[in-house]
Amino acid sequence: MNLSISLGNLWLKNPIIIASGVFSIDSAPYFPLPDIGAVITKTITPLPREGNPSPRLWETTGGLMNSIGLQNVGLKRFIDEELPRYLELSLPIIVSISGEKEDDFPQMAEKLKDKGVSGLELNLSCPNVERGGMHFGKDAEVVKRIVREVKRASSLWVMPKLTPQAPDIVETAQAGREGGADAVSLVNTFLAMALDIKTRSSRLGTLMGGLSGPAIKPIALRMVYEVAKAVRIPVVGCGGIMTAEDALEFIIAGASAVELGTVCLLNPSVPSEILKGIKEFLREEHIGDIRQLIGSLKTSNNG
Amino acid sequence: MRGPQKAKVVEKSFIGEDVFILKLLQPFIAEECRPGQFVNVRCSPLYEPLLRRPLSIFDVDREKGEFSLLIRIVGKGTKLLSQHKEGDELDLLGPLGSAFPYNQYKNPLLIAGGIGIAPLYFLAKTVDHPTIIFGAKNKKELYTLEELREFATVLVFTEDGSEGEKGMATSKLHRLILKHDSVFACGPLGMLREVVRIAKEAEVPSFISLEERMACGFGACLGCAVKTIKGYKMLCKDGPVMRGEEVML
Repeated sequence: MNLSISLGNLWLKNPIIIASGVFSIDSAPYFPLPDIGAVITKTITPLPREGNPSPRLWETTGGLMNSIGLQNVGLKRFIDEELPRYLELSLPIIVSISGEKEDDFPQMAEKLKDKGVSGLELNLSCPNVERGGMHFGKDAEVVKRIVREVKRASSLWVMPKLTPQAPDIVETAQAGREGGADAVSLVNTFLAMALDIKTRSSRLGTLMGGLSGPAIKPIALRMVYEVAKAVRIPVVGCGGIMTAEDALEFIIAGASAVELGTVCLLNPSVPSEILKGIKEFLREEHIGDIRQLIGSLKTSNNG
Repeated sequence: MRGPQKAKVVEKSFIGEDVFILKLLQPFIAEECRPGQFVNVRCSPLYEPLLRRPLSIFDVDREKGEFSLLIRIVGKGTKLLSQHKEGDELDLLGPLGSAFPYNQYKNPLLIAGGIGIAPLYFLAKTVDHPTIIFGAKNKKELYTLEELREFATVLVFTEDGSEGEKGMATSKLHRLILKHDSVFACGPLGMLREVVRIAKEAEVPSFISLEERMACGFGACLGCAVKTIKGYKMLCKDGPVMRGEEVML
């Protein structure tokens, strides 16, 4: 049985990727590393960021809102102190990067190009920062420009992560491809609110946060389907995947691989469970190669 | 790998209208845990509620490989936990977080407010000749007081005077603290603020067990941020026990 997939010229032994934001180098012992196809780091920015005030989390029905705000040690300390430890995990490491200015992206790519990483995910979709983040990802022209400049600055594999806040996510995905992206990942969290009616204030330390978890899965799945149908580069699906069945839905809708985010926070063993479930499904369905399943959705009866 | 573990419910007993003790068989956690640490418990095999619930370890029986949680029902997660029966299996992560640094001090003073007794009961059982101030709104909220009295010197305060002295847990702290070289506390935020203020004045180090909304419990998501004089710290990893003087309460 073949479980390996390719995202352009990045080969993964299986389609399970740990999404940005739910894995830190110190938390690696909690994860079943041998069953993971690739790890995406928490988003790194050019300078350290202390993140947003607490509370940073709010649990909703079937979902989780967060307003972490890209807390990270900054690129220099990441390269000096954390990256060497990531590389010891013997897994493809994709570094998630973001910045406040468009120029930040190529400059970071330049500094990461010869450091042994397998690629970059461009976080053009964080809803929790005042500058940059999803404000870049909402504008297709900006997405194209940033991807193009990153590709010029390094030969690294590049995947922009798209925001569902974009007016037309297919257009932004297309812009990513035109800029030279090797793949696109979607979706990042949905901008959301929750209020305390007694204090008449936000449940979070910020007014709004990003919603993730099973509540967003059907919308994410629809967006992945639309993008995969229209854009001729590999799509990595993300948004509320909890089970093997969820992961398979994304793959059938056109995703070549999936990112697991929120689910890892409540169950870090989940990559093994999902991988096992995928294998069982392939066996039952007599499918020898997971790639046969990618984009296998039948739509003939749905008009 | 330190992933989730299964634990068997050995006993569940209600000790108040909405407070219960869950005794669990889990030899690894029973062996490893230290007072102040917590476990992050999945409340249901389904995904509702989505997140685990962080709960302080209340008591341990290492010989039997058991440990207990003292839980107050405050929402749907703890409600679901209260419905577990003997023999049920729970899924939990732990032990997690920091412990009270009890072996670095000779003569600590323990202070608990209401349900904040949870981690301090375990601590009181661990240190020699413990003295603990136990405060609550009323007699009913002095959970496990009788058991505590079997092995600790307990100074009781209730707001309504229904047991012990009438007053807050911190009412006489400025005097009581003078005989001790450290303070270990858990309770409501207002109480912890007072503990830290009084301890600072008396120049005695204080260690407080805090709460914050939490997701993973193992330092990955950076959700449970606590502001300290050294910037944001993560309650699940740098805490839940933190130095009183460093936290910006």
